[in-house]
Amino acid sequence: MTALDPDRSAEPLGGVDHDQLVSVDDVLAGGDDGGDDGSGGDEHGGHDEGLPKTITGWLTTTDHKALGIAYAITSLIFLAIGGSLAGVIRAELAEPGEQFVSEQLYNGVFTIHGSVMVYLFAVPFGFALANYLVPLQIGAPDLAFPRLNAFSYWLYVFGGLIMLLGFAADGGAAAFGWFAYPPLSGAGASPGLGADMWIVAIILTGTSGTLTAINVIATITMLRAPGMTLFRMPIMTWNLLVTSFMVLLAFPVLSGALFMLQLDRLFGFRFYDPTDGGSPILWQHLFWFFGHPEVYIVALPFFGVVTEIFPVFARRPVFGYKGLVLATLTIGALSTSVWAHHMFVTGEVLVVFFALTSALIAVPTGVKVFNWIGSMWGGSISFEAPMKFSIGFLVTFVAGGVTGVILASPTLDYHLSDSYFVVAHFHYVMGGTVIFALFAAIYFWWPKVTGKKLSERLATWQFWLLMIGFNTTFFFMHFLGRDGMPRRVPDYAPVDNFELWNRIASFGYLILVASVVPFVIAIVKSFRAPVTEGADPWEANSLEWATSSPPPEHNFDWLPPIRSERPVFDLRWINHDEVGNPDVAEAWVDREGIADNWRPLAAELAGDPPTTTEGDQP
Amino acid sequence: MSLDALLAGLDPPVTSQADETEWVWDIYLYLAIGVAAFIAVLVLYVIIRFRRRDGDELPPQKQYNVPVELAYTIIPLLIIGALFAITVVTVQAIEEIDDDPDLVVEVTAAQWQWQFDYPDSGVSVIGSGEEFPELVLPANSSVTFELQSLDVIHSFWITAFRFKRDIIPGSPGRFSVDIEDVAGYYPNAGVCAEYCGLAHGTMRFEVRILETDEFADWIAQQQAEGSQG
Amino acid sequence: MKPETLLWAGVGTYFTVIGVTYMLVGGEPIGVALLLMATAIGGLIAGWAWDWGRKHGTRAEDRNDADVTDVQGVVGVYSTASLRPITMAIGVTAIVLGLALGSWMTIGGVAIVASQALLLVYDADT
Repeated sequence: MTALDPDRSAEPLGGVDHDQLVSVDDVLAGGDDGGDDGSGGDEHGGHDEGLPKTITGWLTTTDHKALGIAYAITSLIFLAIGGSLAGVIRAELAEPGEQFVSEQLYNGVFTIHGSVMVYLFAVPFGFALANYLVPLQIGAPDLAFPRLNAFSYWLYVFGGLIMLLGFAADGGAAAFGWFAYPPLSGAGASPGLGADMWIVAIILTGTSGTLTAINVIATITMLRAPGMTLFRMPIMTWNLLVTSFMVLLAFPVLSGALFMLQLDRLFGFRFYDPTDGGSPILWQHLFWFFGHPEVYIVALPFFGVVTEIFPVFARRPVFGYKGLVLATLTIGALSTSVWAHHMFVTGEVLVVFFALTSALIAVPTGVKVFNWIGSMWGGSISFEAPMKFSIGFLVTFVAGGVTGVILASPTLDYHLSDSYFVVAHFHYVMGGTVIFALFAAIYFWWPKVTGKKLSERLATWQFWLLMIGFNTTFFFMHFLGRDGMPRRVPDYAPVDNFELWNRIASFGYLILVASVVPFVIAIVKSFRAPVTEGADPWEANSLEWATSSPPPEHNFDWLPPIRSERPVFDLRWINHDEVGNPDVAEAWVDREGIADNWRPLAAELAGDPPTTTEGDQP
Repeated sequence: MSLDALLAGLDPPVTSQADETEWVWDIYLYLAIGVAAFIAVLVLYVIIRFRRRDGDELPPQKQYNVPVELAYTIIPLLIIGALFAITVVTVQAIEEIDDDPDLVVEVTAAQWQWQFDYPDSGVSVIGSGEEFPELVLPANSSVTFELQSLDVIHSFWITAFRFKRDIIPGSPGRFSVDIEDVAGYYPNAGVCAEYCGLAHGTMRFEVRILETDEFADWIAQQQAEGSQG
Repeated sequence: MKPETLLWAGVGTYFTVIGVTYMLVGGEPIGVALLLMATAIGGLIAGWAWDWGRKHGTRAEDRNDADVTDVQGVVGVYSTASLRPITMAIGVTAIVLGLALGSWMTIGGVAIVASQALLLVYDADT
């Protein structure tokens, strides 16, 4: 774990000559004034952002940024739907006994709540990030296969619609839980079209995910800008690369398992039928071989998000870059070797093997946590919205992580499995952390996507409502589970503390709902606001900030030299040898040989137009 | 002093296996709280100590500190290793099957009801529509449960045992416990933990642990009722 | 392509090791098969990267000292719009949904996919 580049440690700079700092806006504008920040924004406001203007345009677009935005909006709609379904669950559980919905409907509601959140919200939002950011962060004009990308998006949309339409089917939506254990999910115990539609929906979204993963891996392998070696890629891109590989391993297994289930249901096959030689355990192995990597498929892109954000707002490089990459790879590898810890209580798996691999995964995860803290350590931290949400993520994630270690012990899992303790655990690691990091991402990249910042004041309101609401809802579920409340029940024993904790959780849900209001207001206000931000509003590090906001079609008219994982930082400090990467200045000198090159060194700002070398169109 | 004061709904452990689990639980729980608190304090310290104060000073850009990085890799590894060792020892003790127990109980799960058979004495308890069935067990004795399901997957969870086991159709399972001197009535202890369809939420049972002689009386009474009916 | 080859070869090696270990400690055949399949997928990418590197040599992207000027010209051809993705997606959805709703739907889906795949050939005007 030695530094890739020479040690760039430097003492704090007391007397930085700010006129010597180079801003991307000035470079993009042709550099007619020397290094004065923030003057470039409005000059770029009117340029063609390349997003479709018509409905037909959106339906046929293959542009990675348009599809990234479409993925984000679609998955947020599914978040709203999944969140509303959670409201039904919390309303029913606010009191013991059955009040609002029938058992059948309740079972359908929690099944679709889980399925929507896992398959239609969390994973696709990761793909939204991959779509929008991967080409920008590696200096590519688009994903490698733009039409395949659009195809993936539409498969996902149609899959999602089919799942929701299940509620309209005869007999209601699928009601066998999001992991659909046979024989319960078989034709005998779950007849009806809703179940078939659920299977079809997951097959479609799973296929969509597989294709996107191939696309991302191909893009990262083949379309990096010169100078962007593997170990100069932002951690975000690294995480999306590892995520994509895990998708490639996991999703086809799920699709295959679902096809087998469908064959069982419709054509009388007996893969999972215990009465005739089939094996329900087969499904569990196949499902969790998908299902556990899935947890990290959900989480890793969001780990990437905060790894981008902490250094920017602490004005530090990401601490232990190589260690982080190694940790990400280790998580990816281990996460495909722990699947049967979901099956400890079946008594039919090697508990010791899986207890070991499951416990080990805490180590690289802990390394990440300490690297995030290390990225802030010694920094100069400011607390704009992205940073607030990232710290919210960090705290929530640690709380969910330590309960994960508890559940990795079969001794304890025998009591806690399938209880509300597990519900609390995975809402911390897959719910809370995802939501916090998701809003961190939205607040962080919103200026890049729109050229406008979102309201800080509203973000603060949203942050605190979310923090309080989330913990009020989910923290006491730990107690419920330890006390013996099983998951997936519409009713519970009228024991005093069951009633108390459930009522508190249902109240917390209302706070969570309230936290959405400031966000919606902030978005609406932003749509009415003029474009004010330049290319690099946060003084960030990675390559997406080296193009205008919003980026033009095919992303880059110009690229800075890439000599570290922080090309934009290196550009900003190019006139300060003691901070800037000396290789970058050297690269500028090399560029001078090119006729129309332009050099941002303050003394020589000449006003020539920037070079156009990347992403050209025929 | 225990955090379990917050957990008033949970019955005390009634088997020696559950005592093992409780001991492991305490270790994991306090360690988890300790680690979470340590990191919370660390984060709090960092965001207060290193907040941006007055200027645009660029902080040190040091990116690697190998000894520190190794430390926070190796120390967690050691902690995890210790926890794993505890887990392995205890889980093997918990999973040990007693082939010559004082009592064998056959548990049959079906949507959405329980049946408990005592093959040694021919007694059988079946839940009926409204009432949860009662699983009656003798104190101070070893019991082996033999599990089978007639339809879908269920899970036999007795919270006072701190243990559950899935009941998978086509693949009967079993486990053993040593019940301690804990005669008592545990009305909320019996749960189906694996989601099993429509009425999963009400697939429950009650647990009653009797002194050995009372248990013998109960068996005799059941046999008498059985022969009458 | 050397770093990429090594990366994916490493991934493949990991799954071989863990797969064989799992088999030796008595793991069931499903898990062994899945882990070895993971080896194959890692190996597939590694093999492709190795082969590409063998045929094309070192790329500018592999060098630490490369700059954009080293790869001048057209990076690739990127369509900005196409009707095919959405129509193909409709077709594929119909094929799979037809399993549940009836074979007429699957047949219709196959027809859509076939026609759109054909049109895709003429869809290269970007």
